[in-house]
Amino acid sequence: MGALRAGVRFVGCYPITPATDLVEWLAPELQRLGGRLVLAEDELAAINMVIGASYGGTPAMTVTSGPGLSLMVETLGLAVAAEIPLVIVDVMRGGPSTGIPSKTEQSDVNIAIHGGHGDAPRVVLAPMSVADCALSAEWAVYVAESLQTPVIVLSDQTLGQATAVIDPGVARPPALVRLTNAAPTGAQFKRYAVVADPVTPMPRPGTPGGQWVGEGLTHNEVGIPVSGAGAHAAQITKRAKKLQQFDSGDLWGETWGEGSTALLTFGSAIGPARVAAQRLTAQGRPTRVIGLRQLSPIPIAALGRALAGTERTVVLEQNHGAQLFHYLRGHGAVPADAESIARPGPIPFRPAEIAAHIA
Amino acid sequence: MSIGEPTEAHCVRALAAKDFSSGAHPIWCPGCGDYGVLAALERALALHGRPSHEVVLVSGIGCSSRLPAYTTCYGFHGVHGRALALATGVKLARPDLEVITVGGDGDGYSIGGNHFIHACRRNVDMLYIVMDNRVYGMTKGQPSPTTEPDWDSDIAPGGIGLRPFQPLALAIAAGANFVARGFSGDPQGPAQLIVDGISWPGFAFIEVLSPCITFRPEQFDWKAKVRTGPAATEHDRAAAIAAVLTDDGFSLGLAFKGERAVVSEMHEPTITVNEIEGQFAVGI
Repeated sequence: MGALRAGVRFVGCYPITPATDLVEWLAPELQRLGGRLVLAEDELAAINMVIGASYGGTPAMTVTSGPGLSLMVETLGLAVAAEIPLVIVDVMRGGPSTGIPSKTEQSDVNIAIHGGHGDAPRVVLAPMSVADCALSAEWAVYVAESLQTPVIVLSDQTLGQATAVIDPGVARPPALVRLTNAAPTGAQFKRYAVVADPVTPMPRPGTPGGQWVGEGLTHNEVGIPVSGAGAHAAQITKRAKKLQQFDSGDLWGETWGEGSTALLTFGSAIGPARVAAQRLTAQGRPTRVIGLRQLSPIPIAALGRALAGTERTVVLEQNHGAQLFHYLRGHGAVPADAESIARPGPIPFRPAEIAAHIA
Repeated sequence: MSIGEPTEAHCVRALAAKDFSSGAHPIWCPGCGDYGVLAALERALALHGRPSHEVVLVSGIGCSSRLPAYTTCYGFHGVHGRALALATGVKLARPDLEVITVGGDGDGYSIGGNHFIHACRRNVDMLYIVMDNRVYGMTKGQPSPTTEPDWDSDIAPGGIGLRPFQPLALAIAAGANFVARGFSGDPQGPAQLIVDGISWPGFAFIEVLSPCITFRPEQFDWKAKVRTGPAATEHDRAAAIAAVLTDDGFSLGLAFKGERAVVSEMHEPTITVNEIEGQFAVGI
């Protein structure tokens, strides 16, 4: 729903549990909106079709789970290198490998943030609840379009296959669009120009004088493949700057409650964490919950403000390797003495289990 | 020549092949067959009559896949083997554009094999040109799916020992509407096949034999082996497949022309996003 609100009119996908429900809902609605959902032969085709549609000027998206995302990471890198907007929704399930297809887990943090070879940063968002899915998806499309980058939306089986009655009157994210205007200069158009604004126009094919070739090889400002150090550094820096200057405002996440203990988490773990925090607070151990909607780039300043006044930070996540904990700690986004509650699926967190860890 | 009725574009100013050349110097070795294919494509696009900003050239990885930037068209130089999927996305989102995919035998038949099959099956209205030199040239001389079984290489001493891939037969069987073979050293043939392939509805596939003079210098004798083939088989896929399986791989021209339905155009919207949101209303 959020994606449709934001203008997605092309989806290329391949069915995978537990993401299939989402695309089966999307297929007829997209068609009725004048868009199209294409059932690709595999996830490699799906993500490449999405790049093609996006290059053609249509906001485009795919929906998958962990194994599909694994297949897509090479092409994810292409979208980063060629600066193509797209959204990948990953409805996480038990991993690794075929794992537990029909059960929940939060173990795709690493692949979402880092998956793919080379320096290929991208935006990773995670809806905080069933109610937040529409807003997060809509925002993901705006971010992708305005920054010309892939955005991964990390949902999970718990959120993806739950049913809930929600308040539709939630705030909408500010609409953002892609930059397509190319002022005709008479000279060859420089799609990847190194100028003050790292986001550079991507003319819609069919626009006279705006011709550009999307390029996965390291390239110069025109997009011609080159291998020199200067051009390589210039383009990597250009793309990194897009994410560095990204300001998510109030959308980075949310804090509930107050207390000197902070329980920091994301996705479907937020619900049980909030219940656990309420119980702990009622028992005289004030605990706040900080939910991250934005995982990459890390909203360091906002997170720092959310952690102000805390003496204890506990990062909660549903995976064995404490992926989010190590990522945040490695970037200095949580204190060095932050603690980790990390256990894999398939059973969703119970508030009592979280509270017991904190006590 | 089958140009058809002159369009407005023709009446205003006829396009020339040089309108489609970016002037960038290709990385190809002097004598590479791909120069001939590039020239044929530029001539064909000029004859077809759509300006370069309405054409999108999509490619994968390999020497032939470097082609898009040598033209003035829009384009995408994607990852290895996935060009047809990317092109499908372009064409389905933008049916108004002319979409042409180009690449080599490795990109198209090896890593790209699955997408080749499904592109033929999906029959989206677009053209695919494979420049087949029966070798992986960019990586300096490994056997490709169309390499002869006894061709000696460092990576497969004594030859790969496998029956070569049969792209024309496969394309016909998988559902392509237009299947042809050309030769890069033929001055007129490939350009004509390209014009015809673009115009024919559905998925058009042209394999162009395009010698690699660096890693397969023996392909110099291809120009003596090629010949005009028999007239194309129409409608009867089984007969067309039988014919291509019995030719020696040097028979040029159209092999098959079919009339399978083409993937439909986009529909006009019949609903708004707000109306879709209304579906979720729960009366409480």
